[in-house]
Amino acid sequence: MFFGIDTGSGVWNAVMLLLFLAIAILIAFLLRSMGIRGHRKRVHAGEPFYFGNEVPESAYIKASNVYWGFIKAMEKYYKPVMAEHTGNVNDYMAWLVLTMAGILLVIFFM
Amino acid sequence: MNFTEHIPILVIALPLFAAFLTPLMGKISRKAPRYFATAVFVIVAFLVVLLANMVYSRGTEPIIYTLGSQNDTIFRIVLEIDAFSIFMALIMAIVSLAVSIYSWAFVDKYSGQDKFYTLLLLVAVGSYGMVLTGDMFNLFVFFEISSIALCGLVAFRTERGESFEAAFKYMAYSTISGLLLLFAVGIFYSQYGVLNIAKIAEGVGSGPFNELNKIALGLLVTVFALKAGSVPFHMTTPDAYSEAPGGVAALYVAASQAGLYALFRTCFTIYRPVITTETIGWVVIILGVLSMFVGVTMALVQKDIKRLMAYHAISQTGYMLLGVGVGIAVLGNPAALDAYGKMAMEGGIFHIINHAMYKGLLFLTAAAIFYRVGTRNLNEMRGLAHTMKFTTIFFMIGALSIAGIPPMNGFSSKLMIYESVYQFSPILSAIAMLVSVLTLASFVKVFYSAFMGPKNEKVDAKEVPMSMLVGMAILTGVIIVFSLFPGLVVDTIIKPAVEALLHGWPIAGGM
Amino acid sequence: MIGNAPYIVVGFIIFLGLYTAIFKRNLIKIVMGITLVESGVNLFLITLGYRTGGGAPIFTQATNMHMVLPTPQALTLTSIVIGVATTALMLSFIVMIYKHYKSIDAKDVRRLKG
Repeated sequence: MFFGIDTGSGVWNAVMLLLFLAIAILIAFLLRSMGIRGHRKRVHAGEPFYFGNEVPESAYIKASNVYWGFIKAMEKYYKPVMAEHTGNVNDYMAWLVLTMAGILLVIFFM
Repeated sequence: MNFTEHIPILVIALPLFAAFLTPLMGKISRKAPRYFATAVFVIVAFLVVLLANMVYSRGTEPIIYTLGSQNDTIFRIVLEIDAFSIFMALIMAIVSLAVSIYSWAFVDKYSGQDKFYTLLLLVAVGSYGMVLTGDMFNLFVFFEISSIALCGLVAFRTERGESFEAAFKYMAYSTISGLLLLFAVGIFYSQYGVLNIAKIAEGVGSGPFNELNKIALGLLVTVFALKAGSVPFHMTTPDAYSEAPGGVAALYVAASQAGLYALFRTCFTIYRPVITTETIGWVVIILGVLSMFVGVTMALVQKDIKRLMAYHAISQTGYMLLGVGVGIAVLGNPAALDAYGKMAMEGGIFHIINHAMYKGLLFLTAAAIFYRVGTRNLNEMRGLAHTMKFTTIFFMIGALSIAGIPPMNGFSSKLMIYESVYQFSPILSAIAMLVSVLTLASFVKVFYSAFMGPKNEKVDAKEVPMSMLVGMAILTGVIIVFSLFPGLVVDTIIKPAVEALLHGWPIAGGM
Repeated sequence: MIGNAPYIVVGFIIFLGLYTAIFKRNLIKIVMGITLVESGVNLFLITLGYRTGGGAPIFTQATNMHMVLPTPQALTLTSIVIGVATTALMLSFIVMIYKHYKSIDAKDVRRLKG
């Protein structure tokens, strides 16, 4: 197998995928070229619009706002996990020693 | 004297010698250290490729290089190189070359460039040493070299208190873990009177699985999982990744994977005969699943771009632990090993090289953004795609690859992991896919907030200098080749590595 | 029983070191804890090297030819050297942390978290 891999239950070939993608894009362009010409180009397309005013900085959606709903819904998970990342070296050392003890116990008694 | 005979030691000795020559180069001119160090990295990469050629032509038989006389080899310092060792060395060669070129422009504004390159070379020495050595004690020594040099690099920006905080935390963690590693080495020495890994493996395999060996196994798994940055030892990893200057974070990825190498070497080469139950495999799998899930969910809420990527590095390490962990779990069951265990290991090991490439690339793009925008806070960025076009393209390639979107290389290795792990335990495979979706989600967030949107007029975000683009382009080129020809890569370097791991090491041999 | 005494001391010193690293908030005390662990491991290696009745492995003026293998001593020396480097580096980090944070209390030195 030069291009693809055989996982035993499936086959994967990137070159084949790209080939089909190229054919699909070609068909899409053919369809597009059959459309009506003389389409009017829109003015100011894609520019930010804020009721005709200058866009204030607060109007942009910041990275912290993205996935707000997901994080809110997962709050029960996030609260304890975030609380564990205390930034305190002592806690980190305790995690190291406790996990090591856990691994040793598992190896000993299983 | 035959030159090719001495390549194994040259790969370690050359950068070590060059590291201490670099400050002298700094006396010649300000730019001399960077060209010198990069030249050394090029030569070492060339040597690694030559060595790889030799290793692959020998099949599963490893190259054993002995320092000094060839008598009584088990008591001497030996380098033992099989297909898995050379696979890790190849990763380090590519990444270190890209990072050293990338850093030309990045560290230009800082003083102490000669020291920067000295430390960069020492990190390479530590990692090459860890993966090429055939000796348990040298593993410890190189482990410490790599940790100390990395801490020095993390604390490189002396104007920030945070860099010292991160360096101290990582140093405290890695020192304790290094000492535990030394303790395990002592346990082996007390029983078998040797430090040679192959000889220790023979000793461990000849007797029953006694208590001392169990303690040593527990210590070694802990230590190397810590070096690899698995949950719950991941706490200092994001600190160190985010404070490391520029491209060093990419090198850090490759250096921490030496920990994975040592973990797999311990489980397969040393403990192979006594691992008959699934216990130790499940320990590795659980560490892996925890890393995947906690890493990705923590990444989703970050707003510092490098911290976010660092949590993804933890999450991706989980995939490798999961893939190879399944291989360890079915070691005692040859039928399952042939049916899906080998495929899981191939997936895990293929993911190591893919991860080093795309996560390295992503860290380089993050550092490029920091270089121009002057902040790592995603809230203060927008519209960088208008001006930093190449960086945007590189970021997109890296992000698609890490999220496992076909046809990128991340998809190939993840597919191998999903399909083989599914036969072991469907629920683990489902978790792996869920994590992949969350990975995509958080990179969409980065792409949206850093690159999309109208241009920020307040920031002068030009395209980064040429050397940084070249550094990123090297890794991108490797990613594209791996994406298009996954079958070729699996056949030439991944399968021999898996075979080498399962084959074990002979006691003595020659070149 | 008396032959096992060094191992008990090793265990005690390592335990003490880990205890210090976990429960003492002063960063310098954490470094001291790490150094204690290191001393414990070094003592462990030295203990492994001794065999009853063995002499020092110095060939030139040996009184008896039953010598211990010098490998553990060599390991310990290397480990001590590495320990000096790590301790010095950590202490210098603490000096710089104090300059920037005006504190070496572990609960104050946590700007990086989450």
